[in-house]
Amino acid sequence: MRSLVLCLALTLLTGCDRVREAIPLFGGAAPEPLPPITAAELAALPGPLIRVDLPVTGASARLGLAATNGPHRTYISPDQIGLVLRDGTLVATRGFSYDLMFADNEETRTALRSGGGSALVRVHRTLDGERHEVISSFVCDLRPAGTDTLAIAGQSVRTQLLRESCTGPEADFVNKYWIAPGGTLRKSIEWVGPETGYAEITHLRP
Amino acid sequence: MSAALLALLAPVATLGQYMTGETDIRLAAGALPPAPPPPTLSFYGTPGLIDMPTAEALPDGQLAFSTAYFAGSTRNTLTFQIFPRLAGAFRYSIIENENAGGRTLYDRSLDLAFQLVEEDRRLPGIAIGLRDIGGTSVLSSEYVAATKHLSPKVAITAGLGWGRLGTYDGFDNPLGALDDGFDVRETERDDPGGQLSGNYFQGDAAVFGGVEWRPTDRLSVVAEYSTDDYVYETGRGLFERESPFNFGAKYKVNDSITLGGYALYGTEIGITASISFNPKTPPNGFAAGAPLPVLRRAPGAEPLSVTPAVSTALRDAVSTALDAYGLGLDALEISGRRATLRMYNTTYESAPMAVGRAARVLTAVMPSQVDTFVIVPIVNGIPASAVTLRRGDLEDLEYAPDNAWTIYARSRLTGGAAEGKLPPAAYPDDLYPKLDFGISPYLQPALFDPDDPLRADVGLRFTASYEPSPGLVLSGSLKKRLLGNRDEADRDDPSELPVVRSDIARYAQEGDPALEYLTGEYFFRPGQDYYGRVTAGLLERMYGGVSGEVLWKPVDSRLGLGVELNYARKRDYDILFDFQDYETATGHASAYYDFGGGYLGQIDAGRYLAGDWGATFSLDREFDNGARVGAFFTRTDVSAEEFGEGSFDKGIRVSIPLNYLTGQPDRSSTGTSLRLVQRDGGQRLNVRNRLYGAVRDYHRPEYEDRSGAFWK
Repeated sequence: MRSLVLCLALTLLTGCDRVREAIPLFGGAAPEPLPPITAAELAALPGPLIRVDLPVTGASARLGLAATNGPHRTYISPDQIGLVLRDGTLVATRGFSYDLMFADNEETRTALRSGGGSALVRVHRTLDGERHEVISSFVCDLRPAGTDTLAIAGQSVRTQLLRESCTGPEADFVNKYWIAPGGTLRKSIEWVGPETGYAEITHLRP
Repeated sequence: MSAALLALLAPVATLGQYMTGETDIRLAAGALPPAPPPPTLSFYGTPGLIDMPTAEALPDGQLAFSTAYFAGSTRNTLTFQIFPRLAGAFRYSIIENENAGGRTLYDRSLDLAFQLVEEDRRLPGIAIGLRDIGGTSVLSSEYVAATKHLSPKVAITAGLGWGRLGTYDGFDNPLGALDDGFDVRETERDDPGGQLSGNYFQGDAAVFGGVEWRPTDRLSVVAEYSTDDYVYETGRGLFERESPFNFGAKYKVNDSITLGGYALYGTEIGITASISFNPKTPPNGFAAGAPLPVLRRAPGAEPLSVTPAVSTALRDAVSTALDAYGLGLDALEISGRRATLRMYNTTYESAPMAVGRAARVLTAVMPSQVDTFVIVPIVNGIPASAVTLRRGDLEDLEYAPDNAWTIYARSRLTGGAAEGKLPPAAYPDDLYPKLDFGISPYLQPALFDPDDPLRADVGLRFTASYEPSPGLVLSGSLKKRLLGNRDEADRDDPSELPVVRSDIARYAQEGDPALEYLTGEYFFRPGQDYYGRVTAGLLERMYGGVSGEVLWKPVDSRLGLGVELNYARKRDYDILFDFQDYETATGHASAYYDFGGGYLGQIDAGRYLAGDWGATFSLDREFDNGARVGAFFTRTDVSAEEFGEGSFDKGIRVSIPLNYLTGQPDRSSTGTSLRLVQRDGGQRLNVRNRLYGAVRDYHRPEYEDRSGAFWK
C-alpha cells in the first residue's frame, strides 16, 4: 500500500512516463505453500536438494545445488531464489528484495559440532537503501533443546534440536537447528534480516 | 514574552522537569538517551507546530509533499532536507477572495531553514528561517526559533518572528539597535520579483511559541501561540481572527502519510495532509533474481585451445547466459589468458551490479586458462569505461567478508577507448542492424499554470529505433493524447525577447499527435578520455536542427568538461514536420564536478535560444540508488525587466528511478523540472542523450560509490 501511495505521489510530482504493472499494487494473493515432498518425488530429482519456507510471505520453494565454491554451496530455485549454505547453515541469500549478503557464523558452526556454546559472535552484512554495505554484529548462545523427530520425504529422522539466541543493537532473533546422528544438519530456521524474517530450510537430500 | 504565552508553557515546563529526571536515571544506568522522533510538519509544510515553525530539522535527505487548507487559504509545499542542517521548501499557495470582484491569489514562495545549533541534552535546537526568500509573497517572514525536548514525548518551542510572524502582539525590532534600517519593513518592490529580497528581519518582531505532545508513536497533539495577525486574509473577508491560540492533532497513518485537524484563531477549522519519504530508503528494497553463482575452476583443469569455431561457440554461450540475466552481448574476444566482453546493460540501475553479474557469467563459460576478464559497458554504441577483474578474485571473494569493497579495490577501472576496440571476428554477424519498437502509456502533468495549477494528459507513446552499426542510431517517438486538459491552457504572456519557450502551452494545445523527436545520432570516442555525439533532425518538441557535443571525462576524474554547439530552428505548433521562421545558433561550454557525498555541481556557460549570453548553475544531490533532487538558475545578459516575471530563469528538479519505486530491475527513471514561471531568457535546447549523464555511471567516483551491489 505504501508503495502505491508513494508512486501516485511521485507520479503527480514528476510525471511518471510509464506506470509499470511491476508495482505490486495490492500485494498479490498469498502464495500456496508446496505440499511435502514424497519419497517417489525425491527419488526422481537428482543431486542435493533443499526446501525453503518463508513464514513472513508464506512462500516456499525447492532449491537444487547450482554451484560449489570451496565450502559454500549455492542452491537456486527455478524462480531464481538463491540460498548459500556452509555446513548446512545459512550464510547468504540472493534474489530477495532484502538479501543477507554474507553472514560470518563460524563460531556458531564450531559450537554446533560440539553441542553448544556461549558468547558466540556472528556478523551479518546487508545492503541499505543506497546499496551500501551495513554490518551488524550479534552475540549468541547456542543450547541443546531436547530431541525431535522430523518427517522428511516420508521418512522419520530423529534429531537433536539446538537453539541459538542472538542479541544485537537493533534486533534479537532465535535460530533453531535439527541435527541428525552423525552431525548432519537436516533442518534449520535461521534469521535473514528484519524485512525478510526467518527462512525455514529443510535438507531433503543433504 | 507575552503573559498568555507564558501561561501556556508553564504547566508543560513542570511536566518536563519530571521527565528530564527520568531520562537522567536511564543515562546513569548506561542507556543512551532516546533520540527525539522526526518532526511533524506545519501548515507551511516544514517542521513546525501549526502555523508556527520549530527549530527541528527533518532527517537528512527527507522529501515531504504536503497540503494544508483553512479559511480559503491552501498551501501546497514540497520540502527537502538538502544537507543535514539546511532545508529548502517550494510552496504554491492559493488565497481566495470573498470581496466583491476580488481575484483569487496564486502565490509562489521559496523557503530556506538552517539549523544553527543541534539539540543535545543541555542545549535546545536553534534554527533560523527565511520564508519566501524572494520577498514578494504575502507569506514573507523570518524567524529564529529554539526547540527543546523535555522528553521524547514533549517538546516546547519559542521563537522570535518578523514579517508576517511579527504582525500580532509585536514590538519595535530589537535589531533596530544595530541599524535603523531594521525598524521599518520595506515592502514596495519595483522589479518583477523572483530575486533575493533585501527586507529580511525588518519591521516589528514578536515572540511566538508552543508545545507538542506525543502520547503515542502515531499521535501528536499541538498547541501554539501565533503571532501572525492574518492581515491580508482578514482584509479579503476570509475569516475573523479572534484568538492567538491554535490547537490541533496530527496522526501518522503509516510511515509516509500524516493527517492533521486543527482549531484555528478561535473561529476556524483547518486540515493538513502530507506524504513524506526518504530517498535513501526505497519502499520495496531491490529485488533481482539470484545471479548465476561463480563457477570455480577445477584444480588442474586442462586449457582449451580456442579455435575460431570454439570462440564462436563460447561467445554464443555467453550471449545466451547474459540474455537470461537481462544483459546483452556486443562482442567477446578470447586472447590468450584474457577475455574481453563488450556488453549492454539494459536492466540494472546499478552499474557494478551489472558488471558483477556479467563477470559471474564469464566464470561459468570461459576456458580455464583465461584468468583476466575485461568487461566493457557499452552505452549508445560506445564504451563508457572498462573494468578489469582477476578471475581468481571472483572465485575467492564470492562469499567473504568485505567482498564488495575488496573486489572493487582489486579491479582496475580504465577509459575503455583502447580496451573496447575488438577485431571484427569478435562481433556476432547478426547483431546489426538492430530494430526496436515500443508502445507505452504516459502521464504528463503541466504544473503551476496560474489559471489551473494542475493540468495533465494521459496517452500513448510509440517509439522506434534502428541501429545500422554500433554508435549510429535512427529513432523517433510519436505521442497521442487519449484524455487530459493541458490543451485548455490559455496563457499568453507578452515577452520582450524572441518567444523561444514561453509559448510552450500552444505546443501542448495544437500538437496532438506530436512527433516528439525524429533524429539520427552518432556516438564516437575521439580519444582515450573523450566522448562525442552528433545529433540531427527533430531534436525536441519545440526545435529541430543539428547538435554536436564533445566531452572530456577521464575515468578517474571528479571533473568533466564539455562543449556543445547547436543550430536550432523552431518547430511549428503542430509538432510534426513544419518549422517556424525563428532560427538561432546556441551552445555551451560545460563543467561538471562530483563533490563526493552525492553532491554534483554543473556550470554551463554560453549562448541561449533567445540569443542571450550567460551561464546556468546547478547543484544536485544524487543518492546512490539513483534518486535525485536538484536546483538550478541561469543569469544572462537579459535584464530583469526584459525577462519579465521572476527576473531570471530558475527551478528545481526531481528524478526517481523506476527501480527505486518498484524494487524491480529497471534502468529507466522518471523526473521533471519545475520552474516557477516559463519565460524566454536563459533557455537551453533539450537534446537527448547528452554524454555526461550516460558515461558517469561507469566512472569514478560514481562506480565506486555504488560498488556495494557488485555481488547482489
